[in-house]
Amino acid sequence: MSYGDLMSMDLPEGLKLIDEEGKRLDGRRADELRPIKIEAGVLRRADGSAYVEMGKNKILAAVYGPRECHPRHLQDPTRAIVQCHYNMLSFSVDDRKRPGPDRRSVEISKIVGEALEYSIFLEQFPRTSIDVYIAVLQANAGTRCAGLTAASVAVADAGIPMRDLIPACAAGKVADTVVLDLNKEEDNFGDADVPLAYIPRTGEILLLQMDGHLTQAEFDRAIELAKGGCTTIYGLQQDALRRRYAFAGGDAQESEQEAGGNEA
Amino acid sequence: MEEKFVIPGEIVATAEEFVPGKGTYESDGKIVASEAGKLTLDVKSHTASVKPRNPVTEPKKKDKVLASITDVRSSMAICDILFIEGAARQITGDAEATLHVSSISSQYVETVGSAVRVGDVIRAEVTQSQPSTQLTTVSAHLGVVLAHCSRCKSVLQLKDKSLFCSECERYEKRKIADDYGAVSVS
Amino acid sequence: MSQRSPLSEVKKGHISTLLSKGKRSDGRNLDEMRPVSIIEGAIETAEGSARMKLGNTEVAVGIKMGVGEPFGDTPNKGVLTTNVELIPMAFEEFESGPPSPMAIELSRVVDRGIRESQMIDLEGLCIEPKKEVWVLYVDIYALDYDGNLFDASSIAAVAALKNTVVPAKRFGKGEDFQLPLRSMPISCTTVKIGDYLVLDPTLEEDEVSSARLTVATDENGDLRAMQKGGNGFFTYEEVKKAIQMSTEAGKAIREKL
Repeated sequence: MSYGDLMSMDLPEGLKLIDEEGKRLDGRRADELRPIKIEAGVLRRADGSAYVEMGKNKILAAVYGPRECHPRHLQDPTRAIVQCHYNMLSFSVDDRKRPGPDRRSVEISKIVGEALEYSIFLEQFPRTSIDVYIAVLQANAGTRCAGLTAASVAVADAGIPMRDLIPACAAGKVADTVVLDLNKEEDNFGDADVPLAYIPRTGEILLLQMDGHLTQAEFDRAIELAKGGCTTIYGLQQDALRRRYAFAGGDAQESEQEAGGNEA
Repeated sequence: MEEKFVIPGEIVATAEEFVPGKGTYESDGKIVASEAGKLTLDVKSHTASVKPRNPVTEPKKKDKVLASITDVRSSMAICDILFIEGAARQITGDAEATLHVSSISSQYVETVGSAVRVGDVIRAEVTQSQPSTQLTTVSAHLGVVLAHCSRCKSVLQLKDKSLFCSECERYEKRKIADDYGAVSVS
Repeated sequence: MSQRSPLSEVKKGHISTLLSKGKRSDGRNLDEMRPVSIIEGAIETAEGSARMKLGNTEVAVGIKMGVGEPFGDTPNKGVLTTNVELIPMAFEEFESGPPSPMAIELSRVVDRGIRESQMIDLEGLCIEPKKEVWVLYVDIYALDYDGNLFDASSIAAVAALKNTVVPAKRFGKGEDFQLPLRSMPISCTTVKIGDYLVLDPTLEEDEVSSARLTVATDENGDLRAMQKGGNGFFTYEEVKKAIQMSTEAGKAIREKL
């Protein structure tokens, strides 16, 4: 059964989102994330960038700035502003999406941008704009969370002072079971979806949405699962930034420069 | 002195032992990194600081910059910094800087307009970054690196150590850098 | 291109000096392309796709297909739409919003390279004459910009079309089949800096150039599309030389596809 078939009809007769052994369609247990890959510093032109694969999601994020703020009337004399643009490429979904922003992407840009704003020391760069671009190359449910995860690594890669990295992932309810990190089929045929961004060290929740139907107890369980997912993703974000150093070899170069400076 | 790489959000010390320096902040009795880079815990000054690997680009004292002249006044020229030499990225925020008449040349400069004109690109050194950015072009390697003829706007060529317009067949006066016409930007 | 920033004017002196010694700032010969790397079929939601790097320029191309009505004057041919998006992720001067003249020129030049070479057998995309044909969208996104999007876009588009499978089953139109292709045009671009012609310009070379010529050639070395841009001029001899450089470079790239 291909994705297209699943997309274009109701849940097929006999197909179970969770089987007798508690396994999901893609073989995961209820509390398991999809495979995740995070890479920092993947673009040359941008000041900072990151690439995230989360299951079948493929997402690029780029950061420019802090730089002169356009349009000028948005300028804040006391701090920087974050302008976030979430963009689904036309071929990232089964039915071609017309290029350009729609209402959904404007909303996602706003809430993701607001989460990033909290994490950045904006007051250090008055009158400037920090521009964050998220491009979804391939979508498979959970792109806002994977997009925020990528954007936060890109902000760190851009050397912009920040309180902490922001990991994000969703939990939800599928076939009467609360599960972590819904994929596309589960999102389409499931009962609820709760995207969450959460900083493990501080417990701060920076993005939270919910749609569908959950009891309060199920919501608690969903948050518990999503927090666990965020903690795992947080470690992968850190690893991505550490690997970036290993390749850059910045350590040796820097100490050379310093030695030169002392002699002069 | 202890050094290691840290990531934003990483706890690097306690507030009892250290005070937060550059690239760190204090939260809940802990010193936390705010930038990705090399951590220094200076036990003498009790300061924790992080030197970022990919720092944002702000003009600092002693930086060599390329700037275009946007206005010439009686005692100074107003410039827009285009580029900081050796920096990999665009300048952060406000790029405006001033070049005072006394900082143009080691020789006497009668008027600002006899050394730089609007539209020229200069190489200069930053002498002050706060509260406003001040530049100097005193030194052989500093000064105008690109100038246009004030009549026909074509690019002036170096000829007999002066600037010459081959269209209008006339010389113009500037405080030129020693590599005028062969500047490599990096 | 022809926007002149003060910085690019300063660079021009240096670039010209190097060219007079037969060199370029990245060490290439004048008729040498930057390294090309192509990943085909990386995007599963597309019917065909490619991510391509040309030096530090990077693009992603995805092909999407649907069923629609043919145009009245071509009742038995599929419909081809080519679109280049210059998203601000790729470059500080790209802006979101309606496509810029640069994006539109790029889209049209890439489209011409594919359409005029009759690369795609559009008649093979007819389902029922006058009523139903396959509609093919070639969407090209610039991800990282360091000059010469013309070649990166058109070569990546060709690579993506090559691995495109028509999703007939999904639309209830029989079995899936490989997109019917005929020839493989390759576009290569030369710009003029001072009196020199250089192939595959970087952004800084692009910015100081006076004129640009994109030439699409097929496997026989025949010409399939051309576009001159920029506010400078070429002599006829320069045009011939640019064609020769593009033909040679095109051959080498075709072997990699």
